[in-house]
Amino acid sequence: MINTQIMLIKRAIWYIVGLLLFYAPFALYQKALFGLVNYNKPADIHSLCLRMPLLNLLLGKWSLIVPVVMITLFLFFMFAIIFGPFFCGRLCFAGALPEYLSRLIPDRFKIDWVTGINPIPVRYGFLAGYLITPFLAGSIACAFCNLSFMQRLIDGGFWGEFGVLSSTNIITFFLWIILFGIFTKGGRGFCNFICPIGAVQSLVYSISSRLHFTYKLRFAKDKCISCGACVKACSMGSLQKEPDNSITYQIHNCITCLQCQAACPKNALTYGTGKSGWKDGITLVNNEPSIQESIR
Amino acid sequence: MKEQIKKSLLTLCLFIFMAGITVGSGYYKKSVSSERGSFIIALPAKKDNQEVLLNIAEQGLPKKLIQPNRISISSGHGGGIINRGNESLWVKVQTEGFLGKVQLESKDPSFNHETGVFSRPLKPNQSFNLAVNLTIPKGKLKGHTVTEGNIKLINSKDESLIGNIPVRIINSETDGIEDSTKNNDTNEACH
Ligand code: SF4
Ligand code: SF4
Repeated sequence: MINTQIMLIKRAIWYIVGLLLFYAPFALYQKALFGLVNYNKPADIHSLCLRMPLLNLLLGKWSLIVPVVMITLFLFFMFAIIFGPFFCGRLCFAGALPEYLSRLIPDRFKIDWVTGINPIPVRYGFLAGYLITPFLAGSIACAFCNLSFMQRLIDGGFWGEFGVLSSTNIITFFLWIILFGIFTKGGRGFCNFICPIGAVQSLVYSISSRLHFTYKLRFAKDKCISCGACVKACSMGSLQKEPDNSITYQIHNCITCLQCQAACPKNALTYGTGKSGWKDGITLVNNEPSIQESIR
Repeated sequence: MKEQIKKSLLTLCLFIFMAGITVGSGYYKKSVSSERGSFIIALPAKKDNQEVLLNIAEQGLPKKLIQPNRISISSGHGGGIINRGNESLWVKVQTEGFLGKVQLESKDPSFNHETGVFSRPLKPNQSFNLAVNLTIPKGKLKGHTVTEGNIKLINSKDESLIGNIPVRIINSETDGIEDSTKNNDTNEACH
C-alpha cells in the first residue's frame, strides 16, 4: 500500500516534469531543441505534435517532417524500443490527468470497460482508422487531440478561458476527462482506446521487448501467489486475474508505469533487461494455482 | 478450437468496427468544419480577400449546446498571412464592425494581442498566423445576418491598408426577417 502511494507520487513528479518539458509557457524541450537547430517557431505542444508527423511518417510523406520533429521522432522510437512506452508511463501529463482525477471518485461510479471489451483490437482499430481517414475524410490528428486540449487547460489556467471550442474539441474533452477518464476504472480509457501515440509505442514495445537488451516488465512466475494486487493497481487493465487464478498480461496496452511492480508484495514483477518471463513474450497464463496452494 | 475461432472473429470485428468509427469521426469532423472560419492572405493585397462566410446553423450539436456564440476565424497553425512582396512588412491587425468582444491571438511571440501589432517584420515569403476570436452576445444569434465586419491588415509604418478580409456570420435557421445587428464601431485590436 505504502509502496503504491510512493509510486503514485514518484510518477506524479515525472508527469510534472513532462508538463514542464512539453507544454507552453515552459516547453523546455522545445526551447532547447529549437535553440539547438535554430528553428524559429513558438514553443508549445503544437510545435512538437507527434500525431501529425506520425501520420506523415506512416503515410510516407517524409518531406513534410521538419528536422526538429525528425529528432523528436527518433528519440520517441529509441525510447520506445529501449524502455517501452516511456512517454505514456512517465511523461504524458494529458494521459495522467484523468488517471489521477479518477482516483478521487469511488469505484462504484466507474465503468470497467476492459473486462467487457478487449481494448487491443479497439486500440489498433483506432490506429488503422486514424491512418485511413486522411484518404477519405481528411486528417483527424488535431480534431480529437487530448494533448492539444491539455495545452488549452494550461493556457486558461485550468479553470479559466478554454478559448473557442469546436464540436470535436468538446467531444474530446468529454471522452478524455469525463466518460473515459473520471468515470472509467483506471481513468485511462482514452489512452487505451483512442490514442495513436500510445498505440504506436505499444506496437514497438511488443516487438522490442523480445530483445534481450531492452527494458520490459518481467515476471517471476515462481514468486507469484496470485493475490491480484497488481491487477487492481493496473490502470490500463493490462493485467487480469482469470477464474482459475492465473494472471494474464497484455503487453499491447501496458504503459510500463510500474504501478503493478510497486503493488506486488512478492516482488514477482520487476522492470529490467533480459527475459520477460511471460509465456511467449506477450501473454502469460499462469495456470498453476498450486503455487498459491503450496505456499499456504 | 471453436472458442478460439469465436474469439478471433470477435477481435477482428472489434478492430473493423473501431476503424469504421474512426473513419466516421473523420466525416463528422468534416461536416462540422464550417464552425471555424479560415483564411489565407497574400500581402500586400491589391483588393479585398475572399469573404469568410460562417453559418451558425451548421454548427455541430456539441458546439450549439456549449459555445454557440464563440467563433474563431483563423489562418491555422502554420501561417496564413504571407508576405509575397519583395520588402519586409510591419503588420498591425485591426478589426471593425463585429458585434461583441473581439480577441486577437497569434502564436508568433512578437505579437501583442492588446495592440494587434507584430513587433518583428514579416520578411518576404515568411508568414504569420492569426486567430480572430469573437464572442457574440447570445441574444444576438437569431438574426439572419448575425454580424459582419472586417479584419484589416495595416502597415504599421505608414498606417496604409495592405490587406482586408471581410467576414460575415449568418444564421440560416432564422427566417431572414430580422436584419443585421452590425456594430459600426471600429474595434482597435482587442477589447
Ligand atoms: S501492467 Fe503494470 S506497468 Fe503495465 S500498465 Fe499495468 S500497472 Fe502499468
Ligand atoms: S504478480 Fe505480485 S501482485 Fe500480481 S498476483 Fe502475483 S504476487 Fe500478486
